[in-house]
Amino acid sequence: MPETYAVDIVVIGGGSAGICASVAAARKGASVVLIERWDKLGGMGTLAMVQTFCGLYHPDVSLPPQLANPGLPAEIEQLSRERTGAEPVKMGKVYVLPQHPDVFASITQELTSAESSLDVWLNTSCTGIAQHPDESFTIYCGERSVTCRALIDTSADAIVAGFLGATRYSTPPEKTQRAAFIFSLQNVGLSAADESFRMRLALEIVHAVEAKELSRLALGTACRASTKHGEIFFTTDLDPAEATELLSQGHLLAIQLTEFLRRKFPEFSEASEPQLAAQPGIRETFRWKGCYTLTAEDLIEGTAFPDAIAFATWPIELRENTKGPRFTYFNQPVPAQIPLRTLVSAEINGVFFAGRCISATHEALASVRVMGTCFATGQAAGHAAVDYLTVDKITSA
Amino acid sequence: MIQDLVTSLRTLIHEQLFPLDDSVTESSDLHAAGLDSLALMQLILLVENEYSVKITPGDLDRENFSSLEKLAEMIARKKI
Ligand SMILES: Cc1cc2nc3c(=O)[nH]c(=O)nc-3n(C[C@H](O)[C@H](O)[C@H](O)COP(=O)(O)OP(=O)(O)OC[C@H]3O[C@@H](n4cnc5c(N)ncnc54)[C@H](O)[C@@H]3O)c2cc1C
Repeated sequence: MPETYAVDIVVIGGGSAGICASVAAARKGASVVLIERWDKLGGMGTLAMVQTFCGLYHPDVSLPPQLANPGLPAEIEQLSRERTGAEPVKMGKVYVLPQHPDVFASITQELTSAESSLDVWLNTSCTGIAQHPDESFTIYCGERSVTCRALIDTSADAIVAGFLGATRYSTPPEKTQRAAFIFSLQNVGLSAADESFRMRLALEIVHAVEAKELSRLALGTACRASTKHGEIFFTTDLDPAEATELLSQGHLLAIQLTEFLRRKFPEFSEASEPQLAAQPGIRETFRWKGCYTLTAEDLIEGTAFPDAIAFATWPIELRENTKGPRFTYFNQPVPAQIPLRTLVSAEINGVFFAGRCISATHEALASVRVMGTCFATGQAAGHAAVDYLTVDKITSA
Repeated sequence: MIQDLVTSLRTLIHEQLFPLDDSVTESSDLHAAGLDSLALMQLILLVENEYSVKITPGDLDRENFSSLEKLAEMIARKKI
């Protein structure tokens, strides 16, 4: 017998946005199911090993770091700092918080398991969705299904729009943000912050590529310090492609680079086998068309919205080509408003979205997609879904 | 000679690596203009191919890559 469950709200996708959406809704008393296709929560921040939280802090770096969004973004920031021991750092015109994927995995686990009305379904892929005449939904996950009255899409790919035939935006391939693969090495005898190492690494990689000892992809590799002693992260820039293709390129390169580092640098002679990210880093796929589409001008000029529900603080960071990122900063160093209408479908009642698939142009998404902002839009979508159900109850009573 | 090298380096970097607007002079900090570790690899590759020189670990002084002028001087020294 297929099992069927019924709850108030289903959240699809357990990344930065989905965790905050489901916890925020549960804390307001809703019964919630959070569906995640892999074996842990955290999305790109755990599965792809992205190791920095951006978008958490007020954009004025002449002031000490100050949180831009209250509630869950602030709780996660606090927990991450306590557990990793890493404090916010100023990088040029922004503050970032170094984080650790393993620590983030524990934090997401703790936050979600503390809510008794929240059920997390790991290793569960959403494979279909139907909306019924009474506007309720059934979410199909293979043999299992669950019905709900409000649905939150935090899949990062706007999969709910795909299943329900609603309008999604995508970006032409030549402008789509680039992808990446991340791995780490442990038991390394130096720090990635060591400038002379970074310069020597750059030179050795170039010469090994010229000598055809390393794939040309190695030229897109950057290293970052970990919050764990003796660990270094490596991020390799890749052309956007299907996840399986990115994974096979990434694995091959990680193995080549590990062998190369052990051979060229005595500090790597004892290095561990590479810890490979379970998923490739994908920056941009599909996003929703909501009641309003956030633009770069809104962020840069600081448009005021009557329905503002979250603040964006990260500059517009475009990585469209191999020349590296291009940053456009807000005109004033103040947080920019994100209106609720960017999280609400104009076409389907009861659907909300957050994180990387909110209604935004390609350029605006290049700011609001960072994890700090995804926490905030996730939390706002969770609250909005509960409000929707509550208002609905009052009118129908 | 140095001046010619500065001019050709400016064009090379501007076209192939990162934008160098007029505010970037021959003594401006290249790291501030966008020379991160990825750009450094591309720069080494470009310089080696364009000027037929081989950069060695001994050249890896932050100073040598700090401005268009210092870079040009290093290339000039290596070409002799
Ligand atoms: C290489 C790279 C570097 C980055 N660097 C930074 C950085 O330094 N700082 C920063 O803040 N941000 C960074 N980002 C951006 C940030 O990581 C993402 O934009 C952010 O994680 C998006 O959050 P999300 O919750 O919307 O989606 P995700 O984190 O992608 O989570 C979506 C979740 O939905 C699940 N899912 C999808 N489809 C289904 C389905 N059908 N059924 C069930 N589950 C499903 C996925 O498995 C995933 O867990 C980077 C991104 C990349 C790719």
